[in-house]
Amino acid sequence: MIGGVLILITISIIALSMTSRRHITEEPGQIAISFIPPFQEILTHLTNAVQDVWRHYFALVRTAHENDQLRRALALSVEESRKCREVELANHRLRNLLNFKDLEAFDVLAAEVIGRDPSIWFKTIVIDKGKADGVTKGLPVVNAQGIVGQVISAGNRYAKVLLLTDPASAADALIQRSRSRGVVKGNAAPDCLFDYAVSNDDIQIGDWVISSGLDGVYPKGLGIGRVSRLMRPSDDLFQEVIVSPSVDFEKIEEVLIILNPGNSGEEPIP
Amino acid sequence: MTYVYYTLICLTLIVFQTSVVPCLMPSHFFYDALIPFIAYLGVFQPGYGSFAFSLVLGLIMDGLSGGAFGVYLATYLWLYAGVRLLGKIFRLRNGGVLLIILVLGVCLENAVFWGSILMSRQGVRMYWFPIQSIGLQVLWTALAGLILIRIFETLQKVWNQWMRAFRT
Repeated sequence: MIGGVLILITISIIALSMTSRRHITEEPGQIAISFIPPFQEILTHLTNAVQDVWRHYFALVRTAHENDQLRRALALSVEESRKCREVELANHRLRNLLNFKDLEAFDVLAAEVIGRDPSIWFKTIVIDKGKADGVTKGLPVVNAQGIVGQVISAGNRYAKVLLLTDPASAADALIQRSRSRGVVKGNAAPDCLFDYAVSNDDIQIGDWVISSGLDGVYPKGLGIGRVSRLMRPSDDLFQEVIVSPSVDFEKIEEVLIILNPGNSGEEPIP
Repeated sequence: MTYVYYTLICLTLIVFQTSVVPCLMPSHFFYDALIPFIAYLGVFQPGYGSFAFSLVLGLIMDGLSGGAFGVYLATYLWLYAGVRLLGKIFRLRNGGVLLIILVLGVCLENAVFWGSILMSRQGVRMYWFPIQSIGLQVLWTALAGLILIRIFETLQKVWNQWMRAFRT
């Protein structure tokens, strides 16, 4: 018995050390990604329906109070909206002037999140679009806030997305203000690391981090997050930069898959 | 027919913890609910069938997870083998011993996952977040682990009674 356990442990360690260097979820993972997601989809819809009922019918006590606040907010928003319209028109003219290309330049496909990795160490989501919808391994996934991650496995109707915060994730990035280059990596924590930033690079807390487009996965100019912490060791070549992602990965419900990332957009106007 | 029961429980647990729990609370607030099930199989249902089920469960979770292929498989098999080994020394049906096994199972899973990350990438920096999260998982195990095992036990008895009634 003890011998058997020792053999089992040895085999596991060897196998893990081999597989952890490379994702080999393509073949064995296909089985799980094909038959579990339909159940996840049903339960996600059920959970959302229950949450909707709760929000719309049982939370009416707060509604009257909120209504008053919203009426006041609406009056302010109408005025803000008028100003925004002016800014939008100006922005549109400037974009045309600069031949600006953003997400409109890409073919994007909307997908719903139907499952998540339950572990704190690995960050993946399962979405309800797959090969039948044109989703393939390696495509970038974004939402309105910025980069979400990358498709790592695609079944016929479902796909698995590795989030930017996963320790296996990396994206070539730029500090938008100073153009300092580095690599944003997940770190088994809610924040990411901005690696390979040289000590004398001009980086400040609050700086925007965007994709550089050089990794061949994420188009240039997509938002990643803001610099939230800085450490400059005096004896080290690189400084330690922590980035708070702009995407709220805990509350993510819908995503956009960029189907033609090769059509790289230009960087947005700072 | 026991395998149908195992399949239903596994499917429910997998779908619950990948689809429902993330909607209700942040992911780091909960722990892998399959650990109590593996412990339950090891303590109450030993045999080749439950060993095979632990193996299949590991494969399914590896398929759904973004980690290196084999991390869940290794965790579940080690946990199952560990429980069977401990069963030769201790009386495992005792609540206190079961609780210790569950806590050790959660720690084992986190250790395997962390180990696989360290093997795959140089320079991973650890902050307080994972330690806090493991603490929360242990707390959840202490609060809910034994209850889950008792639920599995009760449901299996009910299932067996249904099956007997169905046959007669």
